[in-house]
Amino acid sequence: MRIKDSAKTVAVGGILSAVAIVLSYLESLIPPLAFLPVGAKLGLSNISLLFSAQTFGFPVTLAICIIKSGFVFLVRGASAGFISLCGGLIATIIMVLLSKIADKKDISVIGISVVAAVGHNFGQYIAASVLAGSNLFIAYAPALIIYGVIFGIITGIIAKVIIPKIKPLVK
Amino acid sequence: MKRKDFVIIAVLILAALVLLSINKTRKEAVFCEILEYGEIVRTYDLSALSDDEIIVVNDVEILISRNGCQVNQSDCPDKICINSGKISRVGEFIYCAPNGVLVRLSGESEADAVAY
Repeated sequence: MRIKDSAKTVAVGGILSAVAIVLSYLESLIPPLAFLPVGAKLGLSNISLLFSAQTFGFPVTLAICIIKSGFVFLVRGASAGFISLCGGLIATIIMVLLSKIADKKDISVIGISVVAAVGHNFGQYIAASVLAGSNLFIAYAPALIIYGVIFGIITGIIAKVIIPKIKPLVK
Repeated sequence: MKRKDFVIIAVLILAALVLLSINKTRKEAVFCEILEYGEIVRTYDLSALSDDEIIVVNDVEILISRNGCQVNQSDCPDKICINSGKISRVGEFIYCAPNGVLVRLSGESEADAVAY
């Protein structure tokens, strides 16, 4: 990679990290909705990760994920940071792997978003189970999948609209 | 949206429905265990409980009654534990991550394995 390219990657990676942090903060301002279970979130910051996974690949996406969880760690404490990191890591791995095979396997960004959102939910519950010293997710597995699918479709549609518009600006 | 997207979504929803139907068979809880950072600190036999009990574990105030448990008060920032509401079935739990407090419900078979 040429020096100019790597500088650009670092700069755009930084912007995407900032976007991820701002999106997760904005999301926390949305009041909890009565029909949703506790802790169910849209996962808007996944849009930033999705964009990075499709444009830059694993290292940059991983960096954004870690920076975002680091922010959660500073603002909401160690347990929330750890839970965020585990969810983010699984989502990052899924996004990068699926982005690589997406064209060949006929999967769009919405499909990637859905699988990543479900993986993210399970990652968070695995983290919570580790912290709690107890297997937590069996009783809640259906909810984790259903809300992952619903919110994954929503963030996937947003990403599908936004990504093609931003991509020319950073390439 | 491409065709494989629908396949992915259909498979996930199917998996959720299968898991949901398994969960439907869950019975009303009999035992309540309270853990602090992974260690069991209290165990209650809900069926033997005569009055509601309120205990405080690591700044989390928990109400234990015959038909379930809930968190009344906690000093944590997110209040996810309080908003979890009441739990009553085997396998359900309330977890307050900042305080490391877990309230979990189990049935007879699981509780038998726990040494008193």
